[in-house]
Amino acid sequence: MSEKSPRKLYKERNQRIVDAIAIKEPDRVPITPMVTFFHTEQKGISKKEAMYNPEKQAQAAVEVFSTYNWDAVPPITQIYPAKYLDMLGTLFFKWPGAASESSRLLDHQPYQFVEGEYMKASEYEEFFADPTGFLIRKVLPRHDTLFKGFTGFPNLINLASGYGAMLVGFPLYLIQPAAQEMFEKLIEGTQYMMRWLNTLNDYQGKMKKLGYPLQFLNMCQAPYDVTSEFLRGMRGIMLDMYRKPEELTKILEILTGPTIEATIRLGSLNPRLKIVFMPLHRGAEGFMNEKQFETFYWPTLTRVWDGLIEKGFIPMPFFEGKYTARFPFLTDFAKKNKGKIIYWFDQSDIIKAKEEFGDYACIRGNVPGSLLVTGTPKEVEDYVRKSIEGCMEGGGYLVDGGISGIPDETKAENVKAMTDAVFKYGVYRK
Amino acid sequence: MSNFVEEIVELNEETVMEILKDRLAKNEDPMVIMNDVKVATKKIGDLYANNVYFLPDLIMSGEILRQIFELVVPKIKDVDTTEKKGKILLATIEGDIHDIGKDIVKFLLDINGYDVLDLGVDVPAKAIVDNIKEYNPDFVALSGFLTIAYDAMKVAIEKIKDAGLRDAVKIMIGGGVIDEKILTYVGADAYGDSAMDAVTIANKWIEGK
Repeated sequence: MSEKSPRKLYKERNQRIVDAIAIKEPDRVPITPMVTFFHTEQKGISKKEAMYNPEKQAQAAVEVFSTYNWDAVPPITQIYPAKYLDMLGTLFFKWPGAASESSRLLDHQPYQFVEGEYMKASEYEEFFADPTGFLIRKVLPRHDTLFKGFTGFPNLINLASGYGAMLVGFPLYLIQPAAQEMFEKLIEGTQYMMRWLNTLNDYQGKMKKLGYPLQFLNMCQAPYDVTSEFLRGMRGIMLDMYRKPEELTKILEILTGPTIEATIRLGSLNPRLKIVFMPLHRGAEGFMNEKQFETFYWPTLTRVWDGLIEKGFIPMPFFEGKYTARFPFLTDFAKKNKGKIIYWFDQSDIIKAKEEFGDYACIRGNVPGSLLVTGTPKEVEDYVRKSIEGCMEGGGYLVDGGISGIPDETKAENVKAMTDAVFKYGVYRK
Repeated sequence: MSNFVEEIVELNEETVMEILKDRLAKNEDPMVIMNDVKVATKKIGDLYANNVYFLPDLIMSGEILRQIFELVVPKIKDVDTTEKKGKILLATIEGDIHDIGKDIVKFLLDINGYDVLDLGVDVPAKAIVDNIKEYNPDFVALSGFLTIAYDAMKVAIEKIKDAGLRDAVKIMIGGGVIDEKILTYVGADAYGDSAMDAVTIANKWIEGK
């Protein structure tokens, strides 16, 4: 038996995924696992080192992923560049080994989001009057210490007068030491980010040579989640639903267009990668009732999807938590966009998903994290078999884990069992 | 004054505060007002348990209660001597700094008559053991949002066992990544799928005591 060349493997794997998304039966159900620190944990690299040594984490990714017969490998951008976070003095994350003590977690802890009210309820009007100016002068300094240098940033409307830029605007601003220091550090940080991006490109190139397509690189967020996580905070936005529903609706509207625009721009860096990952955080069951979901979460989310689909992108929302009760909404969108979207599920019922909208949307998921971390290979195999049997008919199914893919602590034998099960039970035709 | 109760339950912030200020201006007994608040809170808890209310509604009710307490509590001379149903030690487990789920559980346990000692987030096993010794709770409730919580909870429960305290407390776990499988894995007594389950479990346990 002759081994297939990596080139041929790459083509076959890619086609398999393309078919699954288009709701056509490929030769086999594809397996496309996502990870965060799984590969570095497997190599005994601490989370701190993984975040501070991009070359080492990329090398671990190549070594670990190439041992599995996956149809596409995950991006490794989920491990953020900690050195750059240090340079920015990022405040909305804590991470292992951070330079600032108040942001520092222990070496084995994953980075974690810091909930905050980064924009106050009383600041909506200021935001509406000049969204960019407000974000630059007020919000960025609250997100990242370095951006305190933006506090005195000139009012851009003043540029209407040519003298505004020449005399009053930039020189008066840039003469301030805080501003100068910020730009110097930003340039230094950008050089570091170029190195980080090169490492990612290098990883992508190496995997391609080995015959593995990359799943995606591009990502964006739902306008509601951006507002909740980076502006008003979870508590703040929930109170706004009661106290400031009009302002909340308006800010969500304002964020929608730029979200689409920025995602398209990011996509142009890698035009062949069409999938856009969208981790959805705060629209799940329990986080709001159906009416609130319909009013505040869903409209701008679907407008982002529409905008991306229109430009040939394939949105891939990750429905973290439970969304089974929201299936009627998902069905409605899928029916209008057959073969153009991937719904990735965590704790929702994917067999029911298949029944309700599996003829229109590609389903991804959802081997539970608890099973991958603490279960036996046999239990994992059984779960994957059951999922494949329930979801494979007619195409439109990608096998992956639930909680953002494969949890960091997953046992290697369970990932092998998950992969092997796809080859055992997911074959449409030889 | 059932109107007052109703307006709280309906989360009509402005009307609630208007009625409240009016009642206080008329020198009504603050304990009577507090009793209304208790009735309303119970109803809100029920609506949450029945999936009529969700997280935003709880947050909003908490905000209304906070404002009521601000005005009423200073007028209360007698300390509330209502007997608590039981004592619960609550913590987000070591390694995890998420507090939203834990805080909701605390709120719900509190309004349902439990005395809650909240140890905060990223709480190491030793601190949990030490506080069980000092505080002597009926139950321990551990929260975790990340998969790193699996082993951390397992370790904490082993340490509780090593300290000879396992039979003294029942342990419940909960959080986004927790399910039946993890319950067995860590060796706790119950797990909750939603914040309200913490109350249901505690009520069941306290009845059995």
